[in-house]
Amino acid sequence: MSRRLTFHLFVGSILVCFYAASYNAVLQERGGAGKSAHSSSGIWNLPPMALLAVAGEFKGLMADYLTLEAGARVGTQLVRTPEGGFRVVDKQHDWASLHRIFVTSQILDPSFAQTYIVAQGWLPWNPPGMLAETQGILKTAAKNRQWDWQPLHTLGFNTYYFLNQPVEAGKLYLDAAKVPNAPLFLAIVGARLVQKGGETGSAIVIMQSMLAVKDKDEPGYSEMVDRLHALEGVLVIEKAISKYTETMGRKPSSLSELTTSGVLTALPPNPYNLNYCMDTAGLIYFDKPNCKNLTPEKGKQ
Amino acid sequence: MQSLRNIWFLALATCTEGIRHRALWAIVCLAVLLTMANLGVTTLFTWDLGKVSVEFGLSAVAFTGLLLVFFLGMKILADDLERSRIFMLLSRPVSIWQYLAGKFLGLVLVLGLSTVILGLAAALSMHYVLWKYPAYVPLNFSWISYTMALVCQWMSLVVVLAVSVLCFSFASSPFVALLLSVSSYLVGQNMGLLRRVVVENPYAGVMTGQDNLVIALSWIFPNLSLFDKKYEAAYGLAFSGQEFLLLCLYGISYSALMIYFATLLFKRKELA
Amino acid sequence: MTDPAIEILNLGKAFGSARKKNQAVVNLSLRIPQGEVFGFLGPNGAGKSTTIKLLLHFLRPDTGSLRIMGHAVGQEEFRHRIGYLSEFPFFYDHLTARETLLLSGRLSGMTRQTMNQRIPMLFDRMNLTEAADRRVKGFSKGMKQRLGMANALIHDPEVLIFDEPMSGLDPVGRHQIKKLIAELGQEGKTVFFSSHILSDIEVLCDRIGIINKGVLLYTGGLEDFLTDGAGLEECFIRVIEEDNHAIVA
Repeated sequence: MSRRLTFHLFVGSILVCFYAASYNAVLQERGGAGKSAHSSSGIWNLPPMALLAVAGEFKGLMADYLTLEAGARVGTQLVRTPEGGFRVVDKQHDWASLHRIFVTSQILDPSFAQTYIVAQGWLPWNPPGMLAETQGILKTAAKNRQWDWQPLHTLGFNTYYFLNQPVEAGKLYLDAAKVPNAPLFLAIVGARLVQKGGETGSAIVIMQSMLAVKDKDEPGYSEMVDRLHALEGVLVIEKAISKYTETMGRKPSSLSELTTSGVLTALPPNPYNLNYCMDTAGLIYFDKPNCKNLTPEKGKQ
Repeated sequence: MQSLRNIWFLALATCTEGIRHRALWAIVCLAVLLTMANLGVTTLFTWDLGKVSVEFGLSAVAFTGLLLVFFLGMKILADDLERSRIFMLLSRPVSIWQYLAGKFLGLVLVLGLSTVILGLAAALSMHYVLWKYPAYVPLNFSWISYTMALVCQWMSLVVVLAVSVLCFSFASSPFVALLLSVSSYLVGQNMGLLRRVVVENPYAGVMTGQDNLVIALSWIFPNLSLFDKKYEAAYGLAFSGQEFLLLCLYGISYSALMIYFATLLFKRKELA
Repeated sequence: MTDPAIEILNLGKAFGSARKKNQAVVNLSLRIPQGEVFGFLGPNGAGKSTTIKLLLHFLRPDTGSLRIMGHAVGQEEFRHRIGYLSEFPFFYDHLTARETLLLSGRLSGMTRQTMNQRIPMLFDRMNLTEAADRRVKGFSKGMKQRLGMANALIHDPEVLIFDEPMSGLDPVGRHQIKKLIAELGQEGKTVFFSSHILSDIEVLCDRIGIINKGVLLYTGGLEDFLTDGAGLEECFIRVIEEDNHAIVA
């Protein structure tokens, strides 16, 4: 009896040791092999049509999963150490494959907010610097989220911040402002950006079109009207300046020259009860009476 | 009149059998699990929580329904033949079409019940998510469109079931029938995609220029992607009552046709 | 003159494709008057079950015609007048015995009232009263067979067709079924049953038919078959063996 027990104990422990050793070896091998955070193969490498076919009616879920996967890849720089603690590593991300995950997720569900927000959070910044790719993702989101002003707003921000194209950015802001329930500041920011680019006329038209679709009772409506009137004043001044430049052969050094020369009988009223101001570059402000002393604010939002 | 009675009693017996098959308990357990999973999964996300929750709930209904159709439904149908239970029924004044229609309706009832249970469970978890994170309630989200999407999901399962009954009526063995109906489901799910690829894309490989073939196929196989309203429900997009009614009509007419063909094929089958 | 309960004329049925054709029933004719208990004998695979399935229109005959109570099988509705018990009675596992009988009764067009009278009576007769509300899944083979009997009798049919009603039963179960068939005969029902258990046939039947390899070898009274004072078993084996030799030669 006891011999039999000994025998079984012996065989059993040999088998357990063998199992433990081999499994541990496999784990060690895996831990040592991959320096990158994850392998970059996955379903997102399938052609879009094949992926849609595979996902069938569960494509929404798969988009959710892909976005989670992307978030998990970039989300943490902590790696579990064999001792049970964590250590911080500087992960070498495969940005191209990360971008493909976002695009794939959008193919499956073009409206998912998490996709474009996480993409915006990583792709346009350094190190990847994938601005054009991010803009593509944002455009898809904007097209499929007609109820959401944020993709357009983000597009506008990127255009202004990274590309330094205030006019284009302003137009995007104004598009964002057209989305129902969009906050009013979008229209204001947009109009300002467009006007800064020297397109006061189009800024006025866009403001007017905004006012036409907004309800009078909406909060901020009167502020928008004020801003429209101010822009109209700016337009009058701009026209007067060009007329002055035509006749005098030089730009006016200050706005008062417009009235003294007789091009304007009086400066237009400013709804903000401030004086209009012209900076050294010839831009007109309705809200900064001391604009001449301001340093150019290029590159600042 | 008697024929309607027969169908109804057969449906009732099939439904009872299906429910007592431990399937219902499995469904209830699954519903509880998926509800908890819904709460867990949803909080993994930071944006569009409402969408994730609705999508997850409806997907759970779809997935469970498919399992029920392919396993419970096929098992009940196959057992009737394999274990010669069908003789007990057909030695009575019951015609083949009454038999098939009764079986089909019984399983439709089982599917309906499971859809209701899972749909309610999903709605509960959704309700919790939407209440806890009101900022992420999809704009224009309505419980009516959720219910409509749920009904569409059920309709889609009904159509898959009808196709399974048809496959079952001519396949030589239950396994073949299962394979056929699973592939019909996959084809049906991608019918819209295939049609779009071939008709709109001039570089569709072998299928280029086969527009007519694809259109013919899309009339033969069920276009299941039409019934997939998860996206609409999840984002609170417009889903008109008219489209809903037309979808229901399409589902019912297609299923009726399938059962009719199944009857014709089944009549030729020898029940040895 | 009343119609015969069962009338089979020149019945033929083959299975399989043209090359490997397997003739299951060959030119079989049979006439069973009403009120008779008829035993259908034959070794395994002789064509008994095939004949019964043809009779119930589960299979389509290649040649010949079948009539039950004057109704042509496959063309006119006759099934509310027959009761059938298959060789392996299977029911819905998760329905109770009572629900099974209710379903069968309803499908046979019975009213609730008549069923309420007949179901307890049949349970009593089949010794199933205690098991009436249990699910069929847990039933023993004997209980299932008795439930099958109740199921065949629920709508009080004139013609009863039993396929191997006594196979796989213990002696007590066999005795119960035998007693029942005898009672049904006394009630004036037509009973057509197949079997390969000779002792059962001997006690019960008015007439017998013997089938081997699809061919009906004998029909007639039991006494005429038992020549020279030999037992049924002896005579049966002699007939079958003679037939097998004839085919080989």
